[in-house]
Amino acid sequence: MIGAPSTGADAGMSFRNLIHLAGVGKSYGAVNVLKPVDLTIGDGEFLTILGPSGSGKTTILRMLGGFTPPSTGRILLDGVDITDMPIFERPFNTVFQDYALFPHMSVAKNVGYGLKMRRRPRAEIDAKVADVLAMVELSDKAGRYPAELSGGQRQRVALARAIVCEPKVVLLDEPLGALDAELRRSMQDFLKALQRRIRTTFVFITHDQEEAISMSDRIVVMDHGKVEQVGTPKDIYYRPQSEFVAKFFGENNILPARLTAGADPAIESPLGGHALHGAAPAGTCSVAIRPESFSLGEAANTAAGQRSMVGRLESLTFLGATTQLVVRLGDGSPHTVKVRLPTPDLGEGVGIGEAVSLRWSTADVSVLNA
Amino acid sequence: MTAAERITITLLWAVGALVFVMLYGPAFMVVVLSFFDISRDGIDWGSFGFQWYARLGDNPQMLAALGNTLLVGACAVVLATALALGLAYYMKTGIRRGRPLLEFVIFLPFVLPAIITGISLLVAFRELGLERSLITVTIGHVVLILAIIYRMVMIRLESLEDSQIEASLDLGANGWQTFLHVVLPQLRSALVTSGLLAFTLSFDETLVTFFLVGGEPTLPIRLWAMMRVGFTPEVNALVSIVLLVTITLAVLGAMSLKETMARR
Repeated sequence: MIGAPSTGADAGMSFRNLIHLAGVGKSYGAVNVLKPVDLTIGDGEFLTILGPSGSGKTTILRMLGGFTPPSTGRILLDGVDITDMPIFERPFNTVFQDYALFPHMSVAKNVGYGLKMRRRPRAEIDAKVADVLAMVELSDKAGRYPAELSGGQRQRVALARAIVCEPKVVLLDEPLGALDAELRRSMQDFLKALQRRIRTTFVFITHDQEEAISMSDRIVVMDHGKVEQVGTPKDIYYRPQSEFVAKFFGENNILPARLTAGADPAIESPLGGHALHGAAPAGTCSVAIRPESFSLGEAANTAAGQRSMVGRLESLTFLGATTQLVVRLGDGSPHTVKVRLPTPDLGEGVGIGEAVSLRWSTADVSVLNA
Repeated sequence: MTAAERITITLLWAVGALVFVMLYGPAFMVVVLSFFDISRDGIDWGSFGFQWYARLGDNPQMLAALGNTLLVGACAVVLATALALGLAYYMKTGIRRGRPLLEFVIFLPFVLPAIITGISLLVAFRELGLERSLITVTIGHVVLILAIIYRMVMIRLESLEDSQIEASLDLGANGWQTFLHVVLPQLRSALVTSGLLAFTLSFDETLVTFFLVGGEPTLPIRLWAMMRVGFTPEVNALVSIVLLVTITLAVLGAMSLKETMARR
């Protein structure tokens, strides 16, 4: 691991590798809560670990922070093994889910705590605390106590406390979970802007898909103690590798498929045959395509890399800017797909039961591992 | 309101009043008597004044006994608090193994008949060759009050989120700094409350003390000894002062307890 910095492992990210989780897993007795994970985290990256509760996402964060020792594997920071480094020596700081502000200390004392423990001079502590409080727009609340603050303000105090020591990584454990929807939205923007400004790696835990997609450089999708997929938000959204990921984000069409044998293995599905890129899935599989990946168009106009098919319109739902169509893929076919089109594209409209010509790009069809 | 209801309410009121008189009548009597001269003919109502309070100083033995009691109480509370704090913090952050057993051992002297605790300690001290003195009394009191202080510290400590300790470690504090800057300040009111209550317990502890006391009696032991030769009137004054101090401590303790509970 020691040597020239390499770029992030996934999808051409341009971050220098900062952290490497090498086969890190966790078991409690016979209960396996996290299957061994291999993951690199880039320097300055906003990485989101996304999954339903019990998926193991918090376990990864707690192992990074040093709160829980991993059962297997090593954690490397800049190539140095930090697996057994005590919590208080790690150059990481955490924003806890319950914020964990110290109730007997003022906002300024809470924020300055880390610097005080590192025995920084008083003047430096005061200056840095003033700086970060200005950054989180709480300069006027320095003398208040946590109990006197609103949820959003407490959240920002916790954030200020975590960045004041200039850690290499900020770990955020569902920090927006306790906020109402509107505040959550504005905190997301705030958090992202702050992260860009201080150029520090953020490892962010959430169970909210939209939050993950809108904020992250990369997303780690987890389920049942297993990493399902790692990739950019667009990768995860448009090129899911498993049915769980395909279903986890918004609406998707998932159709059964099978592998055709031969020299060039291909995937045969109700959308026709598709060349297979990458590893062949084992046994039966399925394909996924987003409703918005379809457009209307005659087969004659199909460009290279596109496919088309004539189906029959089963229903049509006007949703405002978009309209959702349900199209049966050929007469007598057991399969339908949802199609979402910008409403103006429909022009004069199509009647129920009439033929519609669908067109899509083969690149938008993802092959899913069971 | 029917007649029956009226009678019931009157009866209940009377019972309540009776309980109150039984509980506080004697104490009230002592306080009243402390202000008057008593002769063979009864109370001399014309003699109201603080003469007995003024004459407390004439009874150095009793003052010495009061001093012993305060010394024992203070030492026992400080020792028991240190022990309880260490134990409770260990239970909270340590490996927690053996916790039920350890808690049982701590609570046992508190629920055992005091006479058994007293005799056991006496036998143990004799086997150890420890002379009976204020030191043995203090140890006895520590054994008794450890349970109450431990319990109250533990209740507060359990309500302390683990994330408080984790956050402190995360911010670069080691275990000792975390204890000093994050845990201890949040235990303050629990420590004050349990300290006050424990001091009150120690102050009037008689039974266990009786077995362990040497040549220097505590106040309850001194008063008990005086019963055989008859009380002098300044005892009333002393008891009144003790009563006042105890009530003040109890009120402070209750207020502090309320604060402790409100923080949970």
